[in-house]
Amino acid sequence: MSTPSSSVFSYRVLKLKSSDGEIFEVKQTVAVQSGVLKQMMEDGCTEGEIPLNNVDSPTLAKIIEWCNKHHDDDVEGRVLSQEKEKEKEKADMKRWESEFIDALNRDELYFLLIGSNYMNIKELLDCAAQKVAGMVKGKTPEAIREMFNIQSDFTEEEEKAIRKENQWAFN
Amino acid sequence: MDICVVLPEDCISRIISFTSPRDACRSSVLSPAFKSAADSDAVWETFLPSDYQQIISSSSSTTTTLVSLPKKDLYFYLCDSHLLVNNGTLSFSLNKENGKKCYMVGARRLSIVWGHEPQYWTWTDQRLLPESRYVFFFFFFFFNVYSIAFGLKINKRVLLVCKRFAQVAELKYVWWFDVKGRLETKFLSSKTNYVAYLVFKFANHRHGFEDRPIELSFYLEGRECETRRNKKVVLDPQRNSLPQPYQLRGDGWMEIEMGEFFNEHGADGVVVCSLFDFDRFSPKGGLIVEGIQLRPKN
Repeated sequence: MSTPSSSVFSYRVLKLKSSDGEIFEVKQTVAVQSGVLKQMMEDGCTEGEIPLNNVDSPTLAKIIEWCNKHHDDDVEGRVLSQEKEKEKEKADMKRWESEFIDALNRDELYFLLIGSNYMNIKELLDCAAQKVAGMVKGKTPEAIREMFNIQSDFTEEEEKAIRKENQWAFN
Repeated sequence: MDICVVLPEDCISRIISFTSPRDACRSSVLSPAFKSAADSDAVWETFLPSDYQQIISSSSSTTTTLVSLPKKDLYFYLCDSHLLVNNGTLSFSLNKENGKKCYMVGARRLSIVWGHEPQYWTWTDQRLLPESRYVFFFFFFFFNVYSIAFGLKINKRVLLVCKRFAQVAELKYVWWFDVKGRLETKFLSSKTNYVAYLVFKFANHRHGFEDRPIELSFYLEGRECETRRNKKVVLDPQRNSLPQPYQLRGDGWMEIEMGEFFNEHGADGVVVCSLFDFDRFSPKGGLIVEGIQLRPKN
């Protein structure tokens, strides 16, 4: 807390309001992982409740769980530990992340994608996107449509034209 | 829930960018939302090598045309054609499956012992090789007609014609056959297994390659002891019983595998691909070398 730069994001808490009206208190040092909240802090407009209209309370709880896990409480040594112990902690963190993501059902995963995209939390967004990407990889369009309940609005001719345009991928 | 209804387009393109070029193309038939995401610059920018702009700017082709292409078109352009870079001494392309970098070290950039003595090695304009001559004139005629008919569109097409090295090396005869290609590993994609190929063809009259093997080797410069792999290959076996050691490339050239290595960080130094034989009794001749290509192992 002694350095001027860390005092900007002090131990003060932000009050985040989910779309269904629940209030979550989050330390500023944790909330800074969200690009949107970070910008608000820098602009000095974090007084009172911050409404997050795109994020419901179960999703916001998950997002905060993620951010807490990815935050080092030791503010003074934060930068140092990120550099020095990154390699050491990487494997543990990867395992935690995949367990965290794997425990979600399909809808929870979608809401987490929407929430992390809306709050601009890149690491979480990437992690959730990779999970969905893993389900898509190597599958035929028919299998993907079935898996994600996708209703195609393409006419038969349109689909034929797109397949022709991307013929290489279907060989 | 239909994923397309729930997720905004930038989430979908994020997901697609973690798949592969093939998956991205396939997913464009799923729905209009997927197509829009799957064709987006955001997705294809991640499939292109991070230094693609630098590579394009070192190219002798009209770079402005390339830079203004949608990223998906640029990706496939770089896969299907060869961009001459570094003053025309290297040709660059992408591996279609994974967007990794392929480079060919052109004959002019190879170290060829006796290469500067015209009685031993000559330098030939590639377009004037016997079998290319007609193809070249056909292309020349065809594209001119095409350009008059379709105006602007020709710009992209002309680039396709100019994709080859201007000159190739033709061996007249030597006793000391010694060709080396060197490439800094920083050019190549990291964490990738690369295979090197000699790209060549035979002239109408060739000799000296039918019985005696030549030595092909591949190593990291300065770390020869640990990394050097040698193999001996008869380039032109006459007996039908022997399998041909080379593959046809579909572009009129043939290729033969020289060796492979794993490029960890790209900071390993310089890879050397070498061809060697010394036969004091009879000379070799009639080999045309286009270059040595390094591309990711399939």
